[in-house]
Amino acid sequence: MKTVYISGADGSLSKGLAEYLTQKGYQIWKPGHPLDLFIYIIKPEVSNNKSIKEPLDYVYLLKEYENTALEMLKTVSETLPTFRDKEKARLCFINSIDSSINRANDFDGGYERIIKAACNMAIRTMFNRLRPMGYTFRVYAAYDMDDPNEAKYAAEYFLANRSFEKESYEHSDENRLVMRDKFEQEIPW
Amino acid sequence: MRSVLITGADRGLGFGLTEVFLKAGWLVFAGQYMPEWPELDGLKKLFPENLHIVSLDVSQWDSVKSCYHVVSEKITHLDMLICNAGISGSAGDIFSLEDLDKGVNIFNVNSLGPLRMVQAFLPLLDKQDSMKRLCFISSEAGSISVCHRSEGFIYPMSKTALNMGVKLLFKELYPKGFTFRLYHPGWVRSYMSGKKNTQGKFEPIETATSAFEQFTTHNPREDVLYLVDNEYVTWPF
Repeated sequence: MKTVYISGADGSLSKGLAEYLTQKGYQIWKPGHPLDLFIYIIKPEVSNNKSIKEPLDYVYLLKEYENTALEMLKTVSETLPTFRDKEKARLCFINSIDSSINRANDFDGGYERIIKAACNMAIRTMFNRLRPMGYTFRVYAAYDMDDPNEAKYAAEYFLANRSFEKESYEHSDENRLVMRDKFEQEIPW
Repeated sequence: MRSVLITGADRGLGFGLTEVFLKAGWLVFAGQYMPEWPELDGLKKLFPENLHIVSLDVSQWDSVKSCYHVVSEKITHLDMLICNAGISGSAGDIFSLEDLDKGVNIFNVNSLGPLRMVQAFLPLLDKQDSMKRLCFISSEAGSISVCHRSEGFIYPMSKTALNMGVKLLFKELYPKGFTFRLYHPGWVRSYMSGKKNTQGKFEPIETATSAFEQFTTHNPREDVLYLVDNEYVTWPF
């Protein structure tokens, strides 16, 4: 039976993912067992840091960066040896759609968005290192990190394969790291 | 006389910027992090009237506020803020991460430092006579779209965070009359890692000269925030 490890933020997304993937035959991973699917939910606590004219809570931003971005790196690093087969291993991440720098003007949100954007860079760097070894990646952009319906869309996206032809780099969607929303639209970084 | 505050002015690009702005006749407030480093004192002898050296650690709010009080006693408005102070570092390979704790300090200096500076100095910048120009030294390393690195993590992450921070500042302050420069200085023979990099492509004074041109001249497309390098090439986010 395939296993999934859901880490990062707890909450309705995490719960929804666990329910959906269990229905699809996945077992929640336990230490000591081989792992097939890794999911990390990027969700720094929402702040009131919305205007530079108001006092920003720098201590909070530092703490959330450590607890979210650096913790994500640490968790991935510790998890990599547990994968059953790196050729079939998949690392998935859920970030908020407002992590997009290019579309920063389209969404509200506070300065915790700098942490979310940094996480996308960390994933891109991991992709560069791990994709040539066989690992595949998914990044899902959620409109609402508290909406359990997003969990179903994300899970379906995580389980589906993308086009991949060893002979043709251009024909292989699996060789690009992109962030997609529930409409399968690519969200620019 | 136009006025500018430059953070991380002790050496490297920050020192080069200080020199270029002074030679162009600007009043320069040079943020000094390393009082033991001699170059700024040498420049002070050449420009005793127009160079003010101010103690500044952008990672500490109290230091930033103290700097503000010193500067605000000397001028009624500030034309330009250049957030240059930055440090580098690596957390190594994902299979064997090292010194991940350094990432907190790098984020504090590179990503939060510029936010502290803008926040503290807004009262001096948001004046009718001010040029209202905010300049940030970023890096191609912060571009997710064209990221080529497969290790290191913490420095590129800090620059991506900076890019997002500047984008959020732009969203809030451009409608209030502020203009922005987000600058990638190229591969500079600087001191980012603590000692001088001898393998870079540009001397600090070269990229400082290009920065001066870009920071002080009008851009016909001020309503768009670009990441532009020292050779006027635009980089994606």
